[in-house]
Amino acid sequence: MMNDIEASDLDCRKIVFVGEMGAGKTTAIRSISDTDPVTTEVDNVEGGGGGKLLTTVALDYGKVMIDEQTQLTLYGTPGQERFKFMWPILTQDALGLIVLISNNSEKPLEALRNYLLHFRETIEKSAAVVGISSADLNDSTTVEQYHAIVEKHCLKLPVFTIDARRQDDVLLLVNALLSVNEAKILAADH
Amino acid sequence: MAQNAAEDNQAGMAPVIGMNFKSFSDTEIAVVQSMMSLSKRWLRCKWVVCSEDACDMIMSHAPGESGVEEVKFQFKGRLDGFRYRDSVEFPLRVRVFLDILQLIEDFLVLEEDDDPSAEISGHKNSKKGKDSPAEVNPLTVLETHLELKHNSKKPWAMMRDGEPWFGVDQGANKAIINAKLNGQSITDSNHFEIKQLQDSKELQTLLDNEQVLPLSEWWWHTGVYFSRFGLFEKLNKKNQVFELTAWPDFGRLPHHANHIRIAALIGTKPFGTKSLKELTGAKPRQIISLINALWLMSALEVSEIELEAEEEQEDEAEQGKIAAKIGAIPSIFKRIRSKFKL
Repeated sequence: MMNDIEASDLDCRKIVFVGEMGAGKTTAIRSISDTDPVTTEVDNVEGGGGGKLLTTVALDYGKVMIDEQTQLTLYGTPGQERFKFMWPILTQDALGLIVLISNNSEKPLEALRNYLLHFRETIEKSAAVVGISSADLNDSTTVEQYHAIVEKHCLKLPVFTIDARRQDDVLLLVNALLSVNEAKILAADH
Repeated sequence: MAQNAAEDNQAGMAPVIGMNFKSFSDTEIAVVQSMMSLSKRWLRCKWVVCSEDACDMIMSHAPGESGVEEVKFQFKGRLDGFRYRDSVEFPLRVRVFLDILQLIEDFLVLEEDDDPSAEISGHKNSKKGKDSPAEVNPLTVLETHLELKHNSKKPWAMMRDGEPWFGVDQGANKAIINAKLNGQSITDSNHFEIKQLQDSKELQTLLDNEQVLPLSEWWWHTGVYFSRFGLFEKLNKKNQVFELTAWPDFGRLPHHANHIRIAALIGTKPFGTKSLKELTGAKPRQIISLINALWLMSALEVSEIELEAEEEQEDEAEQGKIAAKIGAIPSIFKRIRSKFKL
């Protein structure tokens, strides 16, 4: 068991999950974290989030011990725009960004558009993937429509339909994130 | 409960899927086995029921959240890189089960590598024998017809020996497949033609009550299936490079882990098949299947580059460059992959 003092000697890497309320950030982190994630949830007084009763007000935090020297930390950022001052701090030196969008939310395409704008620098520096959750509850917005938004921002990102409760689905997003990072290195001056 | 069900299996003839039925009663195992026996003629691969440790796939069933029993597939061993929506509702429908077995079979073909040093080439001759009367490569047939109809706004159907095989309705973004014909080996047929249809209604009438798939899913499966015959001729020139224009939804499509790595690479800039093989270490069939499928899905830009005259002489220097690039990938990526078995 690693204690806090030992943890400070670790090589810590991070992946950041962003998304609106109810998109599944907390659930996604829980599905791959070694430990139960630390979450700071309170009553949802703003409404939204598909009737979600609790919502994250600060951060979700999970961790995975990759090996004895390396820890992968998983941060979930608040979905509400009023917390956007935290986003640059969180995304600094991150391996990449996992954007989660609930297909059952009121304006999923607008949500994606906003995240692509706010996180443009991180996306260009490292990598980003988009996970569409709750497509089983609402299929009125198609993956092609998300791709069209991504393309409008002159980007080419993986957009995958996922279920945040399933570890395999979250790992698919992680795998794509690593692959895009690797591809950037392999493609440099080739 | 090891029971060999592939009595006529001959080593090297076909892929073998090892299966274990966890939490199934003896009666249920007998039912599934009889289903498998009935389905034998649809499958090109063999199967064996084996103990948990030795199997590629475990089927188990348990009550789901709603109290409905679900059958779950868990993939192991050789099928590690295989990904499929891993549960279907119980009672297990034969068609769904067969579809999954066929997908696994296609996956096993992707894992085959007769000659790892072989160059990626197209249009392999189909093996001729008493079961394969086709004299032409089915890939050529499909390609020739699709060239004409790929972007057709009006629905059309591919006829096989006079029977509708599959229909495409671009406007409705769906494909309708004749499950009976789709289950048969393509080399059993030697006459294909396109039938132009007036509207969606005519297509619906032609392929009534058949299996419906989103168009992208159908093209993906077709591309993966046809990878055994090589690259489409249109994509088989030595100086061609490929660039991904839109990622396939791998959340919905069964795929190999290397498909993601190849897609990421051609999503960054155009690459030819030779470079893809060298940079990713992927097997030729994994590259061919992705390129073929992306082309069918209209998610691929194909362009031609000038081949350097001294290409062959530069091979050694080029190999050094590639090794340096692969070496530049931070080990953290490899360690994360290893931790999550990606």
